Amino acid sequence: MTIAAIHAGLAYHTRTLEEGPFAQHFGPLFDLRDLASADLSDLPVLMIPCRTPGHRLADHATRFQAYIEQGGFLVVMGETLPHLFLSGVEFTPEPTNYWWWLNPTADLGVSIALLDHPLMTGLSEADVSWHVHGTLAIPRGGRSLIDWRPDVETKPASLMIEYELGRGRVLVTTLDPIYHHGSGFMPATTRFLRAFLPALRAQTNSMINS
Amino acid sequence: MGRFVFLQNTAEVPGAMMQPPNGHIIDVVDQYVVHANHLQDADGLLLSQHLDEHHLGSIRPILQAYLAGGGAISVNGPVAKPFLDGLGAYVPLKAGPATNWLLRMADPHPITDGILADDLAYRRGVLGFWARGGFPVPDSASALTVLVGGDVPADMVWHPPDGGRVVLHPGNDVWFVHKETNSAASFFPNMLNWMTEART
Repeated sequence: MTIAAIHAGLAYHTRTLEEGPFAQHFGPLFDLRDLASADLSDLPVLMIPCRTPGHRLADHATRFQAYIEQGGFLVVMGETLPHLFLSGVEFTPEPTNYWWWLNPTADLGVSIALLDHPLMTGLSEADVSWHVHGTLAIPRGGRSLIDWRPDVETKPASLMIEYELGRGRVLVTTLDPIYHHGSGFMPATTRFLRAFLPALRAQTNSMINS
Repeated sequence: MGRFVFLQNTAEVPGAMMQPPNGHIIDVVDQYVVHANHLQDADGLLLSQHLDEHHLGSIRPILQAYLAGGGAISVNGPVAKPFLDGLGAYVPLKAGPATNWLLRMADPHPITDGILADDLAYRRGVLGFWARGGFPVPDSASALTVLVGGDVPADMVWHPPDGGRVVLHPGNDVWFVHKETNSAASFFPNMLNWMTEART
């Protein structure tokens, strides 16, 4: 089972979803402008890739909610403004420090919160550490898979949450690996996708079989 | 002073569009509603790296007609699905040392007037911010900047055979650095000036 995804026509979507080593993990792809007429009901998993314009997805909020409640698995990647199209998601933008890594001893403060989670087992801390664009509140009954703690005095906030809704499931992250990989910079994001995409497919298959 | 159209696809409009330099006027138009009438009086059209290239392909006749009428287009980003006749997809440089991303300036041009190659290539001492590859060189195109590794053009100005002018930049949107404190900040205002003069 491959990962169904929305394709917003962005160059970095094309480079990741249609070209190169990760294209094998994706399909079918739905053009963002055709989303209103797309039948999502039988998709085991649907990804909204990084930087898909969230304000254009707001009109589809009801359909996303129905898709999840009826047993779908919606995976929402970073820089998509998920609160605009997912009811109950609380997103707090964070001023991005693009230069933290210039200090060789610096630590961005990102860590894997659930080391034994099937989506996390192939990832190291270095593979999830590039930029912090914002944080997500953990919904009731949900959990954080990736934490961010800028300093020891600050309580950890989440960069990736997972929760159940109806008969389905939602994964939301503020990390934006598809943008960076598809634009040809930030090697950590390529490593992230190399581990995350096969794990997502495997987990989707295990959900289908359970 | 020129009048420009910026196509918006992101939720927020870049700051550079809200405060255009040199008295230029920039009208922000939603990508999905843009029409030939929006471009009728525009000196230039600004196309960001964050646009829907499927949609741009669907309005290719509008873009070609605008160029044929003498318009100017700024194309930004590593384009994956070309949307203009004669434009090819971005090709990254082959893997190699970061020094391949060093730039040198090509022949003098108003867009690059006063700009130092290293101010484009480096940000905070880090190399590779301006361009890491380029477009296949169209006929009637000339280089503004050249990637030292591979000796291939990065920025180009292009005069398509049916008319108009195109500025090709194969990296992050050129207005991304409009607040830099070095000469890189001049690229965007220089480009707007040149696009205006090209029209008049």
